[in-house]
Amino acid sequence: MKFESADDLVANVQTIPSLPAVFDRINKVANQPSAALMDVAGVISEDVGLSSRLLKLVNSAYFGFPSRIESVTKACVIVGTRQIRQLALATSVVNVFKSVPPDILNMQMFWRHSVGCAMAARTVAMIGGAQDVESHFVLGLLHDVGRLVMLQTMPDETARVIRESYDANCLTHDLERRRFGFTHADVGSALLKRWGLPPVVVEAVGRHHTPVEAPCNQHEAACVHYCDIVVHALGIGQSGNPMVPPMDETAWDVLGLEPEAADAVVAQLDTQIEELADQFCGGAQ
Amino acid sequence: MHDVQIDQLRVGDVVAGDVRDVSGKVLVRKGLVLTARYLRALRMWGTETVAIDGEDQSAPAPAVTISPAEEAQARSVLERRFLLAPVTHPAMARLFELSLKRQFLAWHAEAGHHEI
Repeated sequence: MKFESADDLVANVQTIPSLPAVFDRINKVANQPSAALMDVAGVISEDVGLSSRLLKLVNSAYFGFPSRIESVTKACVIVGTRQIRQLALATSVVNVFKSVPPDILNMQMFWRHSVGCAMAARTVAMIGGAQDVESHFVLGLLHDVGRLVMLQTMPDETARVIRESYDANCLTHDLERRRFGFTHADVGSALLKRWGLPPVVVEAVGRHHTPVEAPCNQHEAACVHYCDIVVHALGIGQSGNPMVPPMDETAWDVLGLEPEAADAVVAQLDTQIEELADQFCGGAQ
Repeated sequence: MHDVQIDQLRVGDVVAGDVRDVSGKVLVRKGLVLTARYLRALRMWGTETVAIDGEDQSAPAPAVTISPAEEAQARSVLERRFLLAPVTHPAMARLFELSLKRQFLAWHAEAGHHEI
């Protein structure tokens, strides 16, 4: 099937996955002016699978909360409702894509790359003193989700592009652009927009290879751009792209980091990628 | 992992073991990335030292012997991976060195020479 653009692909394919309905309910409740923490916790608790994935996540060493969190309500109190919504989104998206055929791209390796990028983005956000580090985690986790959509909707063409990138040592997104006129970043951005996610997510994912083109959220796009490079450099997981992408120096300046920031990112990845990758993709084939 | 005096801690250090108060209550869990806020809090709590991940910069480097052949091999793996990503910028140069070090350690761990 031929598509004019990433938006065209996402709009015209019947098999495009949708976000679980529980999100609509969470957002509806949370966006009411009188929303109480208990209301949000109540909606999440109705979904047993989601609740148990969330509790496992917030109790992992990675999130480092001092006491054990036994209920979603307590999680909302300790971690914050906004952050819990972010983490609920993160764990659900991984679940949505569990059915992608594993023969072209190993899903465990794919999510390992994404979780690595998510952890790196959260660390970079912490070093930069960002208020909402969990939202950066989500950006990193979702940055390559467009590739999964492409593998589902145009599997042969996408597989060919991935194979050719490996054979010719080139960047997969360059080849995608030449071959299709759009990249996995564009497709990811179109999907997340369709899901009604905030502009910051749509932009950071859509511009992770071209961060200075982000109209409003350049800092977030630059963060994902750098963290994707870090995870490729370290060879953590597989994204379907064989090469470390070149760093945009303007994006680096936007981040305002010291080069040594990489030391903290690498130290944390080394100690905790195993536990967290297992939480996110333990069940993925 | 090594103990670092509170005054020597830096933003971005990763806590390698739970930090407890005198009564044994956990103040900060293992794995946390220190921010300026946590550094202030640790001082307020009266913490003296914190176990931090990574090598002790003040101690001599661990005795991982790398032969020139191994070094050349790791470099060539990395140079291929970085083929389209120039390492002229200090941030990329740092990342290349970290990736190289990680590659050595992974090989040594595989060969059973060194644990990471």
